[in-house]
Amino acid sequence: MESKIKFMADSKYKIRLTLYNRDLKKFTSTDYIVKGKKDLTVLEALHIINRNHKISLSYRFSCEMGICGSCGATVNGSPSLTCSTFCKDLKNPIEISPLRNFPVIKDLVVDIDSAMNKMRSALPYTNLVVKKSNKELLQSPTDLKKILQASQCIKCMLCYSACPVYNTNRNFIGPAAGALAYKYQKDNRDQLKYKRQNDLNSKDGVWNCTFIGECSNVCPKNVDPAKALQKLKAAGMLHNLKTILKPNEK
Amino acid sequence: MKNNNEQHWEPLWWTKKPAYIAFFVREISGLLIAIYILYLFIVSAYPSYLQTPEILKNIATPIQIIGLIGALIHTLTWLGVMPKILPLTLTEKQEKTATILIFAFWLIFSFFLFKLIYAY
Repeated sequence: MESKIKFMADSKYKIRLTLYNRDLKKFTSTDYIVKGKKDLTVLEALHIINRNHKISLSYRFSCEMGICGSCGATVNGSPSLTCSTFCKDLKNPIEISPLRNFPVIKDLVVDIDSAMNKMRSALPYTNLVVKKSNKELLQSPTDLKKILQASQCIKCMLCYSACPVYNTNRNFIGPAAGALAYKYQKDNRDQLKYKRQNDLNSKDGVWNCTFIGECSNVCPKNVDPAKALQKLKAAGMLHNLKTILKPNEK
Repeated sequence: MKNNNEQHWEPLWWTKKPAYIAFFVREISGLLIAIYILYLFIVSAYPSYLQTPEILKNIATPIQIIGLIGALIHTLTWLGVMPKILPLTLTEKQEKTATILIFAFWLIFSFFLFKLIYAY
């Protein structure tokens, strides 16, 4: 038993929690020493801090295996899923803070409502829902392949947190909503393309994206929202041209 | 949750991150090309080389180097991202092939353009 405990706690990490202090109205840092196994994840380190130091730290988590997308935080300056980020891969001290670009509710919990509303505005449904049709709409493996990458989004909001455009313009549709819109634009069963593309071409639509590409770099599921937004720009251009040439066709 | 408009983060946090510097370099390289083009406009306003002021003749080489650096950075980064903006669904392998083809086309086209201008 003794040897097992020794094996379990064979690494020591310095965790720096940078949290928003509502009284001081600024971010303040506190250092914690965490002892744990070699392949300790950042989320497990947070569990240990909460248990050992009794600070009642608030943070979101659920599956602990990179599927649910709940445990996003800024780790060493980069938005990451804490459950799939290993302490051994990070530079010490490991600085953990809430996701940027979102208002802090408490500790590491941020308010993602605004980004979720952006995703709703991307009309993420096919017209089967709108027309209440009984007709079966088929999708071939080739059609599925076109949208498979964009379908992998787990709504972890890391891309919104990495986006400086969203930081300066909160009305910008943003990377995840762009990827979601792209998925439905390329879906062969969808018939809302005209309306969606019109929305995407609007003032706060895809044209605000400056193609920095950090959203794609931080995406844990390789969705590549930056690419989706650029493709929507190209599609938007063709859409506008089509609207001018054939104004009555929708 | 009525804190939607609260801004806790310093608004310019992203300017301190090295990942975003690459973006700035890419965008500012366009400005270097603009400087070179502006120089060309000014020089071409004079009827002959002899009438061009000495100062413009002296800064010719540095301006050309600035223009070349700007053009190379801008072209290479732009061609690098070009396969991503094509309105086609490409696999990763096809995307790599497209990148190689675009660069090859750029080199061949530049070579012929160079020959056309400087052949005689």
